Order: sequence, then C-alpha cells, then structure tokens
Amino acid sequence: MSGAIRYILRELWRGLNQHRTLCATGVLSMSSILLIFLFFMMMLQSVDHYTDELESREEISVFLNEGISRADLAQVAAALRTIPGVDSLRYISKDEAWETFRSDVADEALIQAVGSNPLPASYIIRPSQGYRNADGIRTIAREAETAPHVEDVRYAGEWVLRAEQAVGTLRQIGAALGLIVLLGVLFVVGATTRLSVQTRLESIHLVRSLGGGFLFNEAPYLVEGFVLAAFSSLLTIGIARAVNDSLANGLFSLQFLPLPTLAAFVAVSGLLGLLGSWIAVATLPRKWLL
Amino acid sequence: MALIRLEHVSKSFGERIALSDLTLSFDPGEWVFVLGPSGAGKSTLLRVLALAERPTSGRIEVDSEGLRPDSGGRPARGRTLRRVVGVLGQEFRLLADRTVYENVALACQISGIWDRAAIRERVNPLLDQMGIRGKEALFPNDLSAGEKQRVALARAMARHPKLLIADEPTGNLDPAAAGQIFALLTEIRARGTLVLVATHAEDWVRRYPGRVIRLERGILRSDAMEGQPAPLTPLTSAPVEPPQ
Repeated sequence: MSGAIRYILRELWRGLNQHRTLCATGVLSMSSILLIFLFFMMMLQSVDHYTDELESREEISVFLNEGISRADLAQVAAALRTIPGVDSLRYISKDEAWETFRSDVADEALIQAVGSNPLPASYIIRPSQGYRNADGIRTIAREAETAPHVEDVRYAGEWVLRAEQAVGTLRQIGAALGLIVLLGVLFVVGATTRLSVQTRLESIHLVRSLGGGFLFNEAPYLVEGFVLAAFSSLLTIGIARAVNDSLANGLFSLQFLPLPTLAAFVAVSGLLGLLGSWIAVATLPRKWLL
Repeated sequence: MALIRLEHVSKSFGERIALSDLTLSFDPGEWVFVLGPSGAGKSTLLRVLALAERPTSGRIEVDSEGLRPDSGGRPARGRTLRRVVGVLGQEFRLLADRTVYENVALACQISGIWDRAAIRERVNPLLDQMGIRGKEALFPNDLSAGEKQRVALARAMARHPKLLIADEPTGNLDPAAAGQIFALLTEIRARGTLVLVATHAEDWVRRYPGRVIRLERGILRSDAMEGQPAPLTPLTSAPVEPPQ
C-alpha cells in the first residue's frame, strides 16, 4: 500500500511540476472565485456580530406619571420586575434626566427657553438575553404599559426588526451566492483539471491500455484537484486576511472568520476540487492506444 | 489445453462487419502470423484477443476464464485478464516524461508489484535481453526508433504475459532494427509465450514460418502452417538480416 501511496505522490509531484503554469492559472482562478465567497461570509459574520452588539444595547424607557410618590415608585418597580424577560431596572429621577438633557444639548439659550424641568422620572428596562430582539422588546413594552403609574413606554424595536430582516435577506443572498460559487468552483476546477488531463491524454489512454485501473488513472488527478483547491483556499484566506488588516486602520473592516470555519472552508474547497477532478477524468472516453 | 479460444466471435461497428463468426484456438508457445490487406480485420482481431474490444457476439475464453460479450458488468475481470496479455504496437507508445526504466517498471506496478527490489529483479534482465541496458536513465526522446520498440517490448514482457500481441511491430523501423525485433519475438516465443504478429509484409512469414491466419473483410480465409517451424535459437548479438 505504501508503494501505491508513493506512486500517487510521485505522480502528483510530476503533474504539478510539469504543468506549473497551468496549475498556477488554476489556483488563481479558483482563488478569485473563493475570495468573493470568503468576503461575503466575512460580511455576513460582521453584520451578525454588529446586530448582536446593537441588540445587547437595546433598552426600554418606561416614563412615569408626574409627581409619583416613593411608595408608588416601589410598586411600579415590583410590577416591572414581574414581567418575563426583564433582566434589570435602572431608575432615572426627574433631576437626573434634566442633567443628562443639559449636558447633551449644551446650549444655554435653548435650555433657558425650555424653562423649568419638563422631563418625567423613568425606569430603564434592560431585557434578558433571549428577549433582545424585536419581538421580545415589543412584548416587554406592551406589558410595561399596563403597569400602574406609567405614562408612556418608548423603545427602538422597529429598527432592530429591520436589521433582523436585513440579516435574513443577506443570509438568503449568501445561500444563493454560495450555490453559485459552489458551481463556479466545480466548473473552474473541472475546467482546470480537464485542461491538465488533455495535456496528458495520451499517457492516460496508454496506462489504461496497459490495464491500469483507478490507482493509475483517477487517483493522481483526484489528489491533484484536492491539493490545488485546498491550496487555493489557503491563498484566499491569506489574501482576505491581508486586505482586511490593511482596511482595519481605515473606517471599514470586517470580522475575520473563526479558525473552525476557516478549516471547514479549506476542507470543503478541497472536496470541491476532488469532485471537479473526478468529473473531468471519469467522463473521459475510453481509447485503446496499443 | 488452449490458452485462448474464440468461439463464433463476430464484431461489427455499426453497419460495418469487422469480424465474422471466427472460431480459433491458440496454444501456449505458438508462433502465429495474422495476415491480410488493410481493412481485413487484423487489428480488430488482435484487439479482441487483447480484451480491449468486446465482441458483438460469440465467446472468448482466456486461460479457461470465460469472457462473454454480454459480461459488460465485469470490467475488472477483463482488466485483470488483460494483464496476462502483452501488447506491442507499430507506434512505440512510451510515456515521454518517464525514463526507460520507469516505462518498463510501470507495467510491473500495474501488475501489483510495488517492491522496488522485486521490480528491479524483473526489469533489469529484460533490459539486458532487449539490449538496452545502460540506457535505463534516458527518456524515450533520446532513443532511436529501434531502441524505443525494444523498450516497448520490454514493457510488454515485464508482466510475464502468456500472450504477446504484436500489431505491425516493425512498421516504423528500418530493416536492421526490424530484424532485431523479430529475433527477440522468436526468443520470447521459445520461452513458451504465445506470440501473435499482425503484418502485411509476407516476407517475414517466409523468414519466420509458423501458423498463418489469413483474413479478408473479417472472414477467415485460411488457418494453416506455412513453411518450416520458426527457429528456436536464442538471440545473438549480431543483427538479423532483413528479408529481401
């Protein structure tokens, strides 16, 4: 068996060495198409991450009636804490709200125009992890409206919902793009291998005529397809990393994919290469040369 | 017991009939010429015998292993049997990117011999026998036509075939080189290998007489011994004179 493996490796080396230009062209073609897919995956990952971050900042403001007593405040807090999905409560008094407003506006003329403090006291609800989405926030807000001494409830759930819809759409585009890239890689790898096979067509027919089976005719090409595609994916990762690092200093950069995802990317690319090669070699017509 | 037997074998390519109802039997160590004009079916017969072509009808038996034309689901069996057959063509068909040694060794590897020492033990005597020892590191493009054909013959013999098929083996050679190839073929036959030579040069039949099968438009016209039996003397280093 070791002799067979040695034979395949020697044939692989022979193929790569004798058809350097063709292999380099194939690697570049495959890298180009894989790069599009990798960047899209990074974009999707970044949007996911950004959405998570925004959701984690999501809060609900519960504005209280004017002149609410201390006893009533405790009653409101108790009522809000019983709502499912409420992680924590933070009280903001009338005075604190006014101070925050003053520091945010920083325009003395405007503040003079407003006159006395019109802002109500409020409770800020922080939803628990499973409720940091549009539906969860909406549910909590509805419950909070029914609590005693509550004048109004405000939240920014709509744009979270829109962000979720956008991510959903991006995922669908990603799936479609993934399919296109998959077919593209198959085509490019298949075409590259076919070219490589064409240059060695006589050898293949001859070895078949001598009685050589899978080990001699298919196996070296399958391994070559796997190696070239896996190498292309590694090159793609290197290019993507370099581009992303150079952008990191600017305004825009993407989340890089975690190691297990990158390993899966290399493995799947290699398998696509193997499949493309298999299609190229298996569909060759048989020809007797001797 | 016959090494290979054809029973009512026919082969057609669409409307064209290449072989028609041939029943033939070949014994080990026979020296057989297949003669006929172009299109007579010589090459088709050899391809059928080499198990490279399935007959349209009839039965082939190699070494008592039956191979029917309808056994399409058993390509591995055909490939295994093909390994007991050595083939030598008019064109040398050597792998240009491999050395002489690697070309011959490939046949051993295809037969399942992977041990380097075992391959060396098999290849080196063949290179000696074919008179190409010392050229094992050269590539086919560095060789003369006669040397290429001897490498091809060494490759065909590397699997110790029971049947050696030679289709116009001297077609691309000068007379001296052709004589050397025929001398080698007779030596191989003397060691018990069935040798079938397809040619349209009847001069070789007169020089190396034996069983002669004559075909015409795929039909067997005659199958008889002609002249004296082929000489069984071993190959000498002197080139054999070509027939005039």
